[in-house]
Amino acid sequence: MISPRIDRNTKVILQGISGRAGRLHSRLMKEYGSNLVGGVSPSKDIKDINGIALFPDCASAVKATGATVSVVLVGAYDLLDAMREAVAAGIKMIVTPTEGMPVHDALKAKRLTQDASVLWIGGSTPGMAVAEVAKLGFLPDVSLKSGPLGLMSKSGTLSYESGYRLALRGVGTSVWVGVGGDPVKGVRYSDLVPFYAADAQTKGLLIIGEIGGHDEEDFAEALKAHAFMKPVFALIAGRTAPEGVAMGHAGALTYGSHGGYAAKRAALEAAGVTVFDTLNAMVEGVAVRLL
Amino acid sequence: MRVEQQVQGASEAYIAMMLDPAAAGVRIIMAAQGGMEIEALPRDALKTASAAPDVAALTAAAEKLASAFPGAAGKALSEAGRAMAKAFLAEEALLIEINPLFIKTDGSWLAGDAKFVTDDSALPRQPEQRALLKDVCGTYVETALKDAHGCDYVVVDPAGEIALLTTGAGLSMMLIDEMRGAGLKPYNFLDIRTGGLRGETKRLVNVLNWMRQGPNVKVLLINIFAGITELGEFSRLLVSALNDVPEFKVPVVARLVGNGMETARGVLKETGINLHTDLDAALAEVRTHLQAAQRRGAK
Repeated sequence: MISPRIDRNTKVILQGISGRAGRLHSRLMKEYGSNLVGGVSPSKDIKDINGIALFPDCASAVKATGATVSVVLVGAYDLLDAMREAVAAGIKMIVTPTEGMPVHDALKAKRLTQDASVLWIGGSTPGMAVAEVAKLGFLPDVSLKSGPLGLMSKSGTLSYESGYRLALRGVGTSVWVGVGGDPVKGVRYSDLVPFYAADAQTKGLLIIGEIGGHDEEDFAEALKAHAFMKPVFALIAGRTAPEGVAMGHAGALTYGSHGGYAAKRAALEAAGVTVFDTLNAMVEGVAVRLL
Repeated sequence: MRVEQQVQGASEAYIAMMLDPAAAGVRIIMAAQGGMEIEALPRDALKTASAAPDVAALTAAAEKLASAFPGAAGKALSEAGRAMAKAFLAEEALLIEINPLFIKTDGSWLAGDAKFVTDDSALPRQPEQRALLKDVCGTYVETALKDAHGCDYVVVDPAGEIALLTTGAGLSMMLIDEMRGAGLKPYNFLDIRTGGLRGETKRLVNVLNWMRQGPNVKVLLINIFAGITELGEFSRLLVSALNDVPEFKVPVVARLVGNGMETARGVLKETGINLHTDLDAALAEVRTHLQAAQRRGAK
C-alpha cells in the first residue's frame, strides 16, 4: 500500500535549493521540523544553504545521506529531467510544487514514477504535511494543527483557508496531501483511499475538489470499492463557473457534461459523502462529526 | 479560417483523442456515427482504447481500434487515426476531436469540424500555437491574458457589481460560488498569484484597469489568504497601484489573513481601508457599499 506519511526521521533532499523558492522554503520546512538532509544545486561556490549540505546531483546526495524523499523546486520545463534524476537515484517519494508543468511531460513523469513504484505528489501541489511533525512544500503553519481529519486538496489556497478555519474551530488534520490542480497528476484522491482507511490517526476524510476532470468521480468509486467506513466530506469549487473556461487551474476545464459540478456532487453523494456548499457549512459539519 | 470543398454523398463518423489522466495515457474514441454531440451518441456505438503517449503505441492502438469498423469507415478512421496520433503528440494537445469526419464511399475522408484544446503550459515551446494565439487573441481572451500577464482573469458576469482581487484558483472560484449563493453579483474571477508580483505594481495596475471596464462595478473586494506572501509588502503595492489607477473610483473592502497582517492593517488604514480578517464581516461591508450606491442611483 502506498503511504505519504512522513515523520521527523524521514530524510528529505531538496532539488533546486539555491533558487529563490528553494532558499525560502528549505528554511521554512526545516523550521517546521522536516529532516532536510541535503540540497541539490549546480552551484559550486556555496557549501550549504540554511545549514543544509549541498550536493552536485541527486545520486551523490542520496548516497551520502540515505534520503528517500525529494522536494523538487526547479522550473516547469526542468521538472521531468529532475524527476528522472531522482527516480534513478532511488528516491521513493517526490513532491513537485512548481506550477505549469507541460501536460505531456506530466504523462511521462506519471509513467516513470509508476513503473518505479515511486509516490509522486504533484505537479502544482502546495505540498503535503503531517501537522505538527513535518511538512514538504508550501503549506502555511497557521493552517496546520494536528488532529483526526485526513485532507486531500486540488487547490492550495482553498485548502489553506479550510485548514485555517478548521483549526480555529478546533479540528486538526492527520495527513494532508495537496494532490494539485493539474489535469494529469501523480497521486490522485482515489489512490490514497486504502491509506486513509488504514491510518489510525485519521477518523474522517475531507476532499477539497473543483470542477474539471474525473478525480472526484473516481474517488467516489474507490470509496465504494474499498467499503470505506470513516465519514467523508467534500467541498467542490466551481459550482457557478462558466463552461469551457479554465478557471486558473488547467484541470478546472469543463466541456459538455464532462467534469461538471452536478456530476461530481451526485457521484460523491451516491458514495455516502457529505458535500457542502460553503466553507462555513463545511467547517461546522466536520466539527460536529469529529469533535 | 479554413474552407473545404462541399461534401456530398458522404457518411459521418467521429474520432477523438484526449488525455487519460488515470492511465497516464491517451484515450482514443471512434464511432461510425457522427455529427451530433458525443454525449448524444449511443454508448455501444463508441469504441475506445487507451494507449501510451508515444507515436508507435498510439498509432498501433488507433489502427487496431479502426480495424473493428468495416469497409470505407475502417480505412478512413485508420488513416485519420494515424494523422491524429502524430498531431496529438507533436502539438501536446489535451484534446483533438473531429466531428463529423466525412467519409466518402472510396474511404477518403475530410474533417467537417474539429476541436483542439491546447496546453497553456506548453505554449512557450509551441511557437506556432503561440503565434496563432496572438493572431486570434480576441477569441481566446483568457489564454492570451495568461500568456501575456502571468495571471488568470475571467469576466464571469459582464453586469457584475463586485470586482474581485483574489489569489488562488480554488479559493477564488469558491468565493464566487458563495457570493452568488448569497445573492451577490461578482464581476470577475482572478488568480493574481501574489508570489509572482516580485515587488512590482504592474500586474495589480493591469487588473485594476481591466476591472474598471465593468459598467456596473460598484465595489472592489480584496480577499487574500497569504500562506507565504508578506501582507505588509502586498498592501504597500496595492495602495500604490490604486493610486496609479485614479479612474477606478469605487470603495475598497479588504480581507487579508496571514503573514504581516498587522503591518498591512496600518498601511491600509492610512488610505481609509478597513482590514477584515473575517470574510463574512468583509461581505457585510460590501453589502453596505452596494446599498449606498443604490441609494445614490435612486436620487
